[in-house]
Amino acid sequence: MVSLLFRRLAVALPTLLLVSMLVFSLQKLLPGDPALALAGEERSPEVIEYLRERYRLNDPIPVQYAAWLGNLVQGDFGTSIRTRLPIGAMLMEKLPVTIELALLSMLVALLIGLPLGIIAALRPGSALDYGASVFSLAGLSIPNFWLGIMLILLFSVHLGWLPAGGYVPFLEDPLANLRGMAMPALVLGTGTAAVIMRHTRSAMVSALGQDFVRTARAKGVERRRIVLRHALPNALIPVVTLGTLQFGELLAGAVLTEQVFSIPGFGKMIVDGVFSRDYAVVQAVVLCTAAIFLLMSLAADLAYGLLNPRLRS
Amino acid sequence: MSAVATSAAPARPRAAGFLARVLHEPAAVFGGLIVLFFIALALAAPLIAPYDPNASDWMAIRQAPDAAHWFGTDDLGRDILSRIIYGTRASLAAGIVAILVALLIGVPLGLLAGYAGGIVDVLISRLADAFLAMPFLVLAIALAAFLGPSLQNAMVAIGLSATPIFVRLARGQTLVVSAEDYIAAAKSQGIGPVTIMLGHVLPNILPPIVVQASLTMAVAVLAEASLAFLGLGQVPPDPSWGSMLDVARQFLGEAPWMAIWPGAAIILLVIGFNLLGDGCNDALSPVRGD
Amino acid sequence: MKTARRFVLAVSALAMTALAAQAATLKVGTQDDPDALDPALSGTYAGRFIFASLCDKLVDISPDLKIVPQLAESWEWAPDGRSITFSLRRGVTFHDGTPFDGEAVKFNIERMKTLPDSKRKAELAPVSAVEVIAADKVRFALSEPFVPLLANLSDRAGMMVSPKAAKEKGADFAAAPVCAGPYSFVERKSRDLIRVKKYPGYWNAGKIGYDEVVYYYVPDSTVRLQRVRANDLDLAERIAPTDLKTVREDGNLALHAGQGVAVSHLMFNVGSGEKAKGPFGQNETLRQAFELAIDRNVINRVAFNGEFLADNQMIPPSSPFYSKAHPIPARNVAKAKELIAKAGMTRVQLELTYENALADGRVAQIVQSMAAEAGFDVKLQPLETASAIERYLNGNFEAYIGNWSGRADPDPTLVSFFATTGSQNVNKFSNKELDTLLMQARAESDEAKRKALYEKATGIYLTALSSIPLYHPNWFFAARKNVIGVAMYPDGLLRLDGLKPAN
Repeated sequence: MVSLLFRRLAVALPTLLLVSMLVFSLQKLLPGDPALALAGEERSPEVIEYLRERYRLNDPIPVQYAAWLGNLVQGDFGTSIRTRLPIGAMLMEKLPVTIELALLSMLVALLIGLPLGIIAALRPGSALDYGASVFSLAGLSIPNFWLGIMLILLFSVHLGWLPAGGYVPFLEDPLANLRGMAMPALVLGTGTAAVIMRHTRSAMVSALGQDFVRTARAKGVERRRIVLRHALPNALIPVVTLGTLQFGELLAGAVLTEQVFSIPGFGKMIVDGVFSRDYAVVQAVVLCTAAIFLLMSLAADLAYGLLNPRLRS
Repeated sequence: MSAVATSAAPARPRAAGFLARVLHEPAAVFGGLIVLFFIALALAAPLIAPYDPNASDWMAIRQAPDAAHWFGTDDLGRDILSRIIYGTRASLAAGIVAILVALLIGVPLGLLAGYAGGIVDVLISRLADAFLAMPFLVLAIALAAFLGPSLQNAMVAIGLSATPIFVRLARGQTLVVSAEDYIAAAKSQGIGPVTIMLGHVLPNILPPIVVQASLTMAVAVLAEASLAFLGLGQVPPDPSWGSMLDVARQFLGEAPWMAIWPGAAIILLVIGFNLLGDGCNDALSPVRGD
Repeated sequence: MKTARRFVLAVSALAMTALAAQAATLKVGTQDDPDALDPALSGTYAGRFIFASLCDKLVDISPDLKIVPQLAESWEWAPDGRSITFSLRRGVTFHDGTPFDGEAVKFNIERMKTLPDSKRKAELAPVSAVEVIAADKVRFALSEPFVPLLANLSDRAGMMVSPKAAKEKGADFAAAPVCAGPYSFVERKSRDLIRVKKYPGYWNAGKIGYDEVVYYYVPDSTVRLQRVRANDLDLAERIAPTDLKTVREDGNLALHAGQGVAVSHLMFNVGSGEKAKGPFGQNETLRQAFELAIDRNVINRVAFNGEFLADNQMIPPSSPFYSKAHPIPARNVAKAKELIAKAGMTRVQLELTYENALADGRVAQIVQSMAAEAGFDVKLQPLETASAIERYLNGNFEAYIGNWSGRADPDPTLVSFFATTGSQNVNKFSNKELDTLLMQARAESDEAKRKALYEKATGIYLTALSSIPLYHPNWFFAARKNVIGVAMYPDGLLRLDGLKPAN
């Protein structure tokens, strides 16, 4: 267990480093230098040159990278070139928002996907099973920004029940927070629900087809007991693994949803950073997201190892 | 959203017979028909579309669907039905070109990594993992921003972002196939590695790659719409379903039809690709737990 | 004993809520997130919006574009126009308690002239020295007469920051600015919100009705309006013209409209690099033909529901220096074709570059469509902001849709765009006669004479058409009916004095 942990970490770190190098080199590729992008209506060559010097944009890339890495190791994520605000603080502000969105979306996904998958597996070939497949197909095929727009049309414009966007911190006003998160979580959650439903179904079907289940049934054990005590726990193992991985995906998938609903999370931070050529911000956020991604994969592996009795030796 | 094929390592997939089995899967056929429908739309656009998609009627701004404009008009007085039909070209092109890019780069790399092993494998795999650790859409956005907003650049950006998926898949399949007896036999016969890779390994790793390609095309269509939505895709005035949605956002109250139709089109095409991919997947593994 | 404690807690909780209920917060929805919140460094309109509550300036503008006192109570020009003496308001303090006096003014002006990345250098260029005559009197010495100085001092160039805070915080000043405005800085969450609270020591505290203002960044104008309608926000700026009907029909909202000094224009590359060598860059006849091929009123109607002001000049009609002698030419496709033929061509190509924003995109497509009828094949080149700005600055375009937020005085606008050394003259337009006229106008203190000079200048730039002005955006705020005292200014900024909640 512990050795597995260390082995995976040992692989994750170089990957993270490689990611940071790739992201850093992106600034060489992106046209438009940030010093120019900074300039509002009044731009002058001296100001631009000064900014380039100040942020070392004239240094060769490897030098800039080394400096950035050095700061990072000390916990300094750098300063936003655009606003002069410390990026570390920005990350601290926005991470909870995206995490909350991801958690709520996961909740929605589990609440929809798990039961549907289980029921579909229990009645294979039935109208319900068919319906669930259609739902899962739809969930994978509907662009989440379109779904967001449609939900806004229904719940904000026509019914006026939910706000069309915006974020209120949970601690400030829990009700307003949840009202603001309801639609985004629904949007992100349905996509993930589709994936979870599929995997739950196929895992359940496999589990139900196992020998021990057939034995139990032959012995006359009641169906419900079989499902709940035997099949379900085994089926949940791959689902947990998938769930943990999907959590990482949710963080990334939030980009468009945050855009549509004006939620100040990570996704929006990246998009804004790319568009305003605020390299420092892009680097920090992508690195963070990659780290979380890798962390989630690690957690998924751990969970799988913990839950799967066969691997536990 | 990841759309990775849900098949476990298939036992000796064979190229021959695969096509026949695909044609027997209802999902694949249905999905294939949908895709063909859109291809037909894209090709026959000039013949079918009632109006020039870029022609503005200044007196008919944001008109609700009626006899003259079945899907209504947009904020510049252009017929939405015609724009949807022509928009098919952007979406299909995005899907096809992006996948071609991903296949042409990803499959050879994965093949190489799986067959050669050793340091080559480590290098290629690490690089693919690093790319995969970055959120797909973010990568596509950054690349598209670098290349500049245009349909071609969006296609390349999406293709490059999807490449690591195929590297991984091709590598995994190559590892499985390389362990088979007939490969060992070929090696012992003294056949060169390139010939083996291209002639023996490649045909046998193709079926799962085809499945993944179809599923990834669905993702590519969605990604093109997303990039267009953010302003990074098709240059106006040429229609793209994604940019139509971006503009529609402003007029949700007054002209909801501007948002409904492009969305419906995207969903239908993506369903087509997903069904096709699923059907092919089912054809791959005929014996399942059902 | 337990009950007693609970009782005390309950009472104090009630007391706190009662106190909190007294505190009136104004929630404002803004379109953009500002850059650095330092008047010397800030270059965005969004920054100006926030500064309106944070930083007072030496002078301000009135709704009819006159200069009125703020931190300076009165001023006097020297007869030769080479210096101006300000009498400063007494008893003013910065948010950190530092007194505002002549030394502070001197410090600020010098700071804005010497900070390496200060964006205010051009605006204060003619100021050669600031002399502190008394604690409440300063004299600005000018290297040459410069009438627009007061207009410049009504914007960021005249904003005063606390010398103590600026020296202590150095480069971190922008993270928590300290000024002398009605509100002091509390917190900023990047791309989310900016919170300010009432400064009790403000010289005009009596007119400040809200205890706290929170600016929320909501870039989507439709969502901004939704949130005002849903009572999530009290006021939203820059409502889209297509949403005005909704505001007018909503009984809980009031629409505040005002004419603005901003302008949107089509800039042609007439002298910068390769892209100036095309037919448009070389031939003013073609540019005139282009102007005749488009109909500004159609643009206004289709893109903005007719709510903006179609115009052919860079400065708004509300300015005393606007030229009534040059009305908007009507669309004339036949004449346009004639002019193209005169230039020896039948169809002309043009690449139109612009930032990929919804409004500019619509305008571009309308222009493309109309120009096509006269024989212009316009190819659209939308770019995302950073790339667009780079091309703009490098003069790497054939035509560009520019948006200028405008100034209280015509000088900054006309000089920036049309003077040979103008800061916005990225298309390298140059006309010696125009240069002379503009330099004379900025030194001319007699309004009638100044007007005559600008009249001539307008004639020149409207013939050369290095830029074709298209329209002036009007400003639209949507506010809940219980927000009293909203006044619209030509710069579109929300001023906080006089604003209070209904009771």
